[in-house]
Amino acid sequence: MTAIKARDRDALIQSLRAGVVPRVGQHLIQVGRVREIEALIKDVDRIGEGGSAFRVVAGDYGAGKSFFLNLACSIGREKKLVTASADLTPDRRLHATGGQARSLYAELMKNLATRTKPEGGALSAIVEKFIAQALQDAQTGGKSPESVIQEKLGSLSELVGGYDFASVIAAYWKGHETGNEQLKADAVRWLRGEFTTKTDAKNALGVRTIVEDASVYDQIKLMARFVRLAGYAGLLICLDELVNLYKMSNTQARRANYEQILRILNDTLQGSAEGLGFVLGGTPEFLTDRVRGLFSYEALQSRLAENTFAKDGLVDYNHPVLKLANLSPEDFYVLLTKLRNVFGYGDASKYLLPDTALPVFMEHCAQRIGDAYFRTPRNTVTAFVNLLSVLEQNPDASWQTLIGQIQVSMDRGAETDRVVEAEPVAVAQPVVGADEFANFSL
Amino acid sequence: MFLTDLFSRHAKSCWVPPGEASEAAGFVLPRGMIYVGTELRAVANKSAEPSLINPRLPVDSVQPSKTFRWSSDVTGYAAIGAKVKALYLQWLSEGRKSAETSTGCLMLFLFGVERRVLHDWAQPQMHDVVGAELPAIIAELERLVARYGEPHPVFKAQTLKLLAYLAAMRDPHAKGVDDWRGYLHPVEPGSSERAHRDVRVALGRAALSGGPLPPDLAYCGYLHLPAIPKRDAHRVCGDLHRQLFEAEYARQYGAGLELEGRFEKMSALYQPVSPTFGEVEFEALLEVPDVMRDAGFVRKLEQLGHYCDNQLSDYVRLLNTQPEKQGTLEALAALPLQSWPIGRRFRFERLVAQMKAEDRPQTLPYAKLLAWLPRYTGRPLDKLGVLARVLSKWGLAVEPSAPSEAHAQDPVALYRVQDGNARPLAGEYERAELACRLLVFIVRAEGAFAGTEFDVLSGALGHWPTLTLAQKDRLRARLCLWLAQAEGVLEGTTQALAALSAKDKARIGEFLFAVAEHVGIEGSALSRILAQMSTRKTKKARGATVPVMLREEQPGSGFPIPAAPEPVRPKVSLDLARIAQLQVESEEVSSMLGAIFSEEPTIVAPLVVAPITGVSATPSLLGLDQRHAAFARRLIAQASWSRTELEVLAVAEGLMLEGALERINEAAYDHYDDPLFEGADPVELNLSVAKELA
Repeated sequence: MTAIKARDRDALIQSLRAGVVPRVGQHLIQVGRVREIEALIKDVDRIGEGGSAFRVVAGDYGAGKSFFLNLACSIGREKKLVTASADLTPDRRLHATGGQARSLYAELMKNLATRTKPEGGALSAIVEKFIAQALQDAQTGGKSPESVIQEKLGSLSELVGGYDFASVIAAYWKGHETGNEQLKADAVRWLRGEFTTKTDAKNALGVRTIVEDASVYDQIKLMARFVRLAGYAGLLICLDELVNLYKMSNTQARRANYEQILRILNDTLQGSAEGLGFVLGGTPEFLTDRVRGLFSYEALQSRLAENTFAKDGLVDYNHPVLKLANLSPEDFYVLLTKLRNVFGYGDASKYLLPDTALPVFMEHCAQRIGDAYFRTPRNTVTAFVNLLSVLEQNPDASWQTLIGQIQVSMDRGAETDRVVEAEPVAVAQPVVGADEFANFSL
Repeated sequence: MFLTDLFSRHAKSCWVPPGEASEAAGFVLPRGMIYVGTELRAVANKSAEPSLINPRLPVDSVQPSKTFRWSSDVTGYAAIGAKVKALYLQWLSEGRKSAETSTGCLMLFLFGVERRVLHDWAQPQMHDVVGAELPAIIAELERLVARYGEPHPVFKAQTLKLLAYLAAMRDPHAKGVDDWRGYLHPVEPGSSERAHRDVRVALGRAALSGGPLPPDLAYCGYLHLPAIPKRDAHRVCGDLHRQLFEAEYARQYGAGLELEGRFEKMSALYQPVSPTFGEVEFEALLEVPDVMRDAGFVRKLEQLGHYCDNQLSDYVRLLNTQPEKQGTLEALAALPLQSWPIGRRFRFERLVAQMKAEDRPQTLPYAKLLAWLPRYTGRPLDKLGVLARVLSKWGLAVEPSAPSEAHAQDPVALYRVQDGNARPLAGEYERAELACRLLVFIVRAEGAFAGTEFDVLSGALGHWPTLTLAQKDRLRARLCLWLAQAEGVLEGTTQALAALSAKDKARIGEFLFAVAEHVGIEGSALSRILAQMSTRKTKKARGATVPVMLREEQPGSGFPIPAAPEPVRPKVSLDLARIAQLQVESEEVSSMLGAIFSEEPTIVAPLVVAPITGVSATPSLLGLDQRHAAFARRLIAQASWSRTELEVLAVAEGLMLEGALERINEAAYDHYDDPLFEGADPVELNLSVAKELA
């Protein structure tokens, strides 16, 4: 057993109490899933070596998809990748014509994170690190900073939109050099995809293009190459709640989004993307539904269909799809032991609850909400963390009494996952049989 | 006396008071607030005062520079070039009102103001004079921030700090602070430094007043506490979140939290940018307690905030994915009762109170029930489920459970559902419902219970002991509907009876007979129905003085009377072998991830660390280049820095702040697996890493 850093512990507890997936310290409460994590680490290593990766993480509500995606980001950051994560919503899609794809890109750029800025907002730091490195190189090589920056950004120009991207980075440098904060702010706005008209961008930065719905994926590829130029290992993109694509009622729009996923899949698996990885999180319906899901798109179905040999307990962890099963009571029990360990700073002598208390807690929750206590454990975990918190602050309190008072409510988030956008559906009319009328007589 | 006069005259000769004009190199400088003269020494050393405009120095007014770039190289007016001097004087001569200017001009002007308010004001012999000038100086600084702040954030940030410091110095009790109620609307934490400060001051003043903390201020404090992680609720549905927070706050703390105990005082720190002071920092202590530093207070607000976040989580999740659902039935189903619109809540409260008082279900047209609720916009097939969820929030259910919109004027019955742990027996409800229909018919035919029919029938349900509480509630609602129905109660009973087994028929007959015995029904309707049930029990059994057999013994058949209800205790059965396997797997995962996240070993024995040569020498702190190393050394000197201070320092070192922090923290990670600086504003020193570096 290893000691736990107070910083990780506190951040983890705060997140769990608030009912959100923690951004740090996930490794402290990870239960099982060795092979899945091994596969993930391999992916991250591959991205760090200039390769690419693509995974769809499929699991029911409460199976831990978001947790797994955050863990992927944490591992990526520790391995010196830059990570960006975002949830898809009706306003944030991979493909759109009304600004929703640009909105997704803007969200990703807002959440850009590095090892030293895990909470996001690292875009400026990345740009400035690149420029600082260029300045240092210019100083040691006796060259002008402009020429070094141009030289370094030269490799971007070969990608779609690369020339303007390089111009914007150069504008940032100019803004710094001349003390023009506005120019710097405009450059960052452009990189974040916040310019909505080309005229504004031309006036502010002298570039002819902006990040548009159609160019989002190309822009992500440019960013992946740029972060490598800035000294990071690569870029990992984590997209969650892909079930929102499945919910879209417009078939054309849904297919266009799936086409975009196919493009990403092809690029990453064929190796044409460099230092770039994608992890997508969605429900099994999103993946396998042949009417609305990814499998409704033939080309994706053939690429993502299950390995025919992977049955009867055999699993292929190299497959692009990683399936996460729901937690079992045993998984949940081990999770509780891990939470107890986190509260005790990894020191068994500081545990706030004995082993016997854990099944009692589980039983109490089972009585309240049935199987949901381990299948969708968000509220149960929060309740357990609150219990430990009270015990920590009140060492004289009796856990037996406290467990009886715990209120656990059902997590109904899964219902939202199943709701699809409204479509005209014929209302079923009750059929009235002729024999419904009574002939009972006295 | 002589020295004072001399000092006063000397200072006066250089400082141009607000509103007075001066002249330098042919430029008329109209609005004062600058030092103009030939001799004035810096505060901390014997060099010339950096802000002093010496008219004897050469100025190239023919070709003034286009920009005056601000950096650490700018050590004062004397040190800048003749063209740049011309640019600065030109800006001053335009009354500091030109549309655009350079950061350098603004910062050089700030040098002079800093000297006046930080140094001259502190001199006893000048205190009153400078004090009288302060309102004009502050007004000028605020004007400059408003005019030039956006394109020159370094100047803006530094000036705002100076203004905050001056505010604290002039008004240590913070009585003149703006009304904090202006900030009660949800504000992104950290989005406004001034709002943040005002809320802190307001909290401190509430503590001083000794009274309870009002709920709106408590909520404002919660929003502005950076230590509390916040979910989306305050952003997605700010008003609802606030109302819920304030209601829960009032429930838990009545009139409000009593802020008692000892709190640290608030302070305003200011590090001047002018080189005239050297390395000096000014601190103004306010006579106001800093409640936000109290861990107990923070914890209480945090718990309230989390409670509200949890209550609104379903609603937020819905709006995050489908914002157009606001105001619909689906949204109402996701809201906690406290957050319902008052009109709708009141209507249901009144209904529930009435049902409790009368202890019977209420019937009303389905259309009327729908009119009480907002529109539904989802899939038609899901509507009844959503309606059931809405009603269940009030502990209510509707009968029939699936009313038809096509017959919206037909009555439905709303009834209160009681909790019960008993498991229903299969088919029991349907049998009981059939029996109750027949009973309704019999009671009506008897005609002796006008006005009390419901009570009689409702009481009859006690004769069917195997029904669960929920089933009895539903049947009571069904009885209400039948009683409201003029005819047709027996529709479909012939077919239903024909489908029953003889045993079930007999059982229904026994039920009817028992009820009839109890309430005294003797009519022919009962006899004829009992005959249909093939039951052999007749009125002859009445008045028996010895136990009589109600049913022939049939081993293994019939419905045993269930044991007294006891709480259902689902046993959690755990597979110990699986747990052991999981623990092994988890250990494997922990070691795999531990290697990546580099946890600290538990061994606390002192590690023998080879001395790092050259750490104390300047060049290679954390393996950084000289500039970054010097910047890091400068930062280690203080535990906490505001972003403004760091921006000024970074510019002085010729670095870009974000990039510099990134590089330093990366280097610290590589060496100590921890960053050296944490947080965005303020940026705080990681003391454990700093200790290692020391």
